Amino acid sequence: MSKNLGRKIGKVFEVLVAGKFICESSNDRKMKTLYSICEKNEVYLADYFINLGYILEKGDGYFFFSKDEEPSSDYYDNKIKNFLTMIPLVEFMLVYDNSFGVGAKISIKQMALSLEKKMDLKDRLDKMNRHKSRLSDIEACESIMKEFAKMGYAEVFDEYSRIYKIVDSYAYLENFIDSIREIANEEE
Amino acid sequence: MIKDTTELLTILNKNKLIIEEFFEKRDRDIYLNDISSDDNFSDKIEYLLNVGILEMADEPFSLSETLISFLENMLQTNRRIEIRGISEDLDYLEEKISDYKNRDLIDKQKKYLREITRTLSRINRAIVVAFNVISQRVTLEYTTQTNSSEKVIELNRYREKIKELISTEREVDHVVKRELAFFKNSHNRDLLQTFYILAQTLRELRVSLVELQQIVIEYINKSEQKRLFFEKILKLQEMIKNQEIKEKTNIEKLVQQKSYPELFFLKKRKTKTQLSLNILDYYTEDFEERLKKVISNFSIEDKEIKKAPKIDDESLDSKVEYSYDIDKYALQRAFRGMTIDLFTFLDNKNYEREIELEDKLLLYSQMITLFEKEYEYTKSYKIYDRYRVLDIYNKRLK
Repeated sequence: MSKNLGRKIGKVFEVLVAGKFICESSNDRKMKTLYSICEKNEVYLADYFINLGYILEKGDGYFFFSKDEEPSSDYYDNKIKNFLTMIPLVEFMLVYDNSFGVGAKISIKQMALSLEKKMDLKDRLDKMNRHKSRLSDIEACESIMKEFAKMGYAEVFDEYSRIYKIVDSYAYLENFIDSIREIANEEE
Repeated sequence: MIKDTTELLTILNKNKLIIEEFFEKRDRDIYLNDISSDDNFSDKIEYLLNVGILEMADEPFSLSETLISFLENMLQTNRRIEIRGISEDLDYLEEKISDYKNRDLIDKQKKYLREITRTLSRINRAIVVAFNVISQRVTLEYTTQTNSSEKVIELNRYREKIKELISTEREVDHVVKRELAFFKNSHNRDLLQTFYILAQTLRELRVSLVELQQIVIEYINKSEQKRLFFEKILKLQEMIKNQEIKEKTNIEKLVQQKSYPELFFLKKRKTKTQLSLNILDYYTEDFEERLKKVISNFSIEDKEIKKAPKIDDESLDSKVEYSYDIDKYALQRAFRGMTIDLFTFLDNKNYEREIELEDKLLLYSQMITLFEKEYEYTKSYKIYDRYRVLDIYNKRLK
């Protein structure tokens, strides 16, 4: 067990209880420290948090909290809805760059430029109503990445150059999207 | 900073209203809201601060100390109300009158008369100044002081000063009346004139002082009422607050409420969690069921967008790059002496790994390029997929 773990537990709890992910690939030095705390004390922390009603779960390079109780149907449905709303965004990003995934660095400017070259991308953007409220191409593209960042799957890598980085927690979204696709295809 | 007298006088003249107000209110803190004499005061204040007429870069402002003392000296409006000095002057006057009476020398008598005249004049001036200062300050205090308690204290102080001035006036009057014969028989014009002025001042002062005293008492009563009113309001506010706190901290009521965190005056903290990954591994059926219910409102594209294949860690770590190369010379050696055509040979050959038709055609072309002279070219061909492949044989040995 690490020294001063008590104080560190508080910080880990503050982040996770807000529904955020703690990612290994994060640019934020504090997040990286929190990740290494979680990794080193995974068993202890999991035992500690379970008493507070939270399950500390680990994915490939990320930690998060899930509820230690049967989720209510509303909670379940809302989460599924969140995944479903992310599907068009993920598809848009894959059309833009099929290597889109954990570790990818997305330049908003490049993305906006490629709208001119790829008509499919432009159509998708229009379909997603991202041009609502007269957003420019850059603003529309950024709104997509902001959505990823809001959900904890991306973070701002370079604010000045408008570059976003996809962090490890994106794998969590990918897992669910793949399952959703599988189930949707089976039904057809 | 001001460099010469002309500049100083111009500045004073241009800003006379605001300077007058500052001078009048010189004994208290002056804030921007208190200034009523000029509409453009904020610009002027900045200018006056720059030239040094005003002091303090921030509120409360005040006139420069040098300017205050200069104006006080010039206007003889020293803020101190010096009534005690009058009694001393009165003692001195009596001494000089007695000296005058006891001396026969004309030169000395003249000197005493001059001093008596000067003292009388000083007493007169002191009484007038004291009265003016008191009356001005009483009005100023009553109209501009916002703190009611302070106002009452200050007005009571002036009331005492008025009483003091009334008793001094009586003292002066007593001396003047006692020495009336001396003044009248002095046969000195200056002395007589000063004496009459003082007598006139005393007469007027008697009436004015009574009036002033009444005004002060009236002001005190009004201020006292206001003070009591404000005190009541404040007390009422405090009582309301106390009552609110009492209501909020009524444990019995709060316990009956469902939202008990209010007990601690804290808002309930919102927490957010993610869906467990276990749902995908162990509770797939539940997930399926819920998904089917929700998915009807969403459209998922049938055609899935392919992701780029993942590069496995092993190949990323590898320091050797592998390539599959077929030894054409070995193939030619094997082909020599065979009676079948080249492409049939290449097509039927067992390779270490599976080779596509296109790769075989590439190999066929490479063999022709390398061993062109060793082959015999016919006009017949075979069709493979959508390619026509010429039949090529080994040259027959002669």
